[in-house]
Amino acid sequence: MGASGASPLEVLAQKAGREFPHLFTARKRTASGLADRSQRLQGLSHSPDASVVLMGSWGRAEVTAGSDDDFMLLVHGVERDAVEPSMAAIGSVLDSSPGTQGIFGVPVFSGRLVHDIGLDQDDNSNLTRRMLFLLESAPVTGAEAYRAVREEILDRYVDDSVKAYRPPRFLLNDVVRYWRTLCVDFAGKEHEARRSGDCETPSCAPRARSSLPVACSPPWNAFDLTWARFATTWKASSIWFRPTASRSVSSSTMPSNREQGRSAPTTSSLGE
Amino acid sequence: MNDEEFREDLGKVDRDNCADSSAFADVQRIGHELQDGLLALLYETRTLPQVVRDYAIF
Repeated sequence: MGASGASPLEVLAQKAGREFPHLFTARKRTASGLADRSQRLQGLSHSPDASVVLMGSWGRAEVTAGSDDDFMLLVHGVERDAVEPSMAAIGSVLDSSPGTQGIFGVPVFSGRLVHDIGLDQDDNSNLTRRMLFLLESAPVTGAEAYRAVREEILDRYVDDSVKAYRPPRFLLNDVVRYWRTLCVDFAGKEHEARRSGDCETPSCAPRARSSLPVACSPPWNAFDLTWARFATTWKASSIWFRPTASRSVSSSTMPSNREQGRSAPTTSSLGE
Repeated sequence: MNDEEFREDLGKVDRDNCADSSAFADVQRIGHELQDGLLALLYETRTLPQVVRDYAIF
């Protein structure tokens, strides 16, 4: 909220003279959905250091009719076997499985998120969990545990910065690393799918199918992540998905924006 | 994206049929506009380029 009490989206709508009806609808749907799920989860016994966290569109306040209840069971405490509520219990209440591609299928303990940044122990799953937690998550229960873990992670990034002045490059580098990892992993998944024969991209042999294989589907199916969609929409769609005769187009052969007759907004058009 | 029919149309898009998809064309256009807007915002305004240089490129 700004000083006037208006949200950033409301301020933007006012300054731009636009209504953004879909975004405001999504904001309302997110708020009501969180309240509903919080109430339903209150019936489950919780460890004092546990928090049920919804991911993706819930964290972005962009919930739509097509959104899933991807959740993380976050624990602000020592690693152990017994944590309440159980994953199965949460799944039954939310009528959903832990989301994104299985990386939240087990309780996530704060120690790994806070201390295992970088080096071998910071594997793909740990990086993904930490970044999604920071960038697009919302607590449904256990708000105190949720807030404490966020603060510990941010403290770790800021306190370990080598130089006294900002920006916090340690944090920025990790965010950039995450976005790059998404893009590299998408190519990796396509490659693996081709090797296993599950791929139907033009370089693969045609196969009968009933549904689009996830690893080869357009990015909005492969990743339920805002930035994956964003990055692949404005980058990959220009390169990977642009229809051509050969279907094998390098970025160097693609026309630039200017060559395509599209002009970027100018300073004046931005109102400065 | 809050349109189930639109999302279903996108779900059917693959590399072979994307040229025939109006839904894909819409999303691609929006993506290009967003990219152009971001580039203009970051590099063509009066004050932001200095901030971008100091804080985003390092």
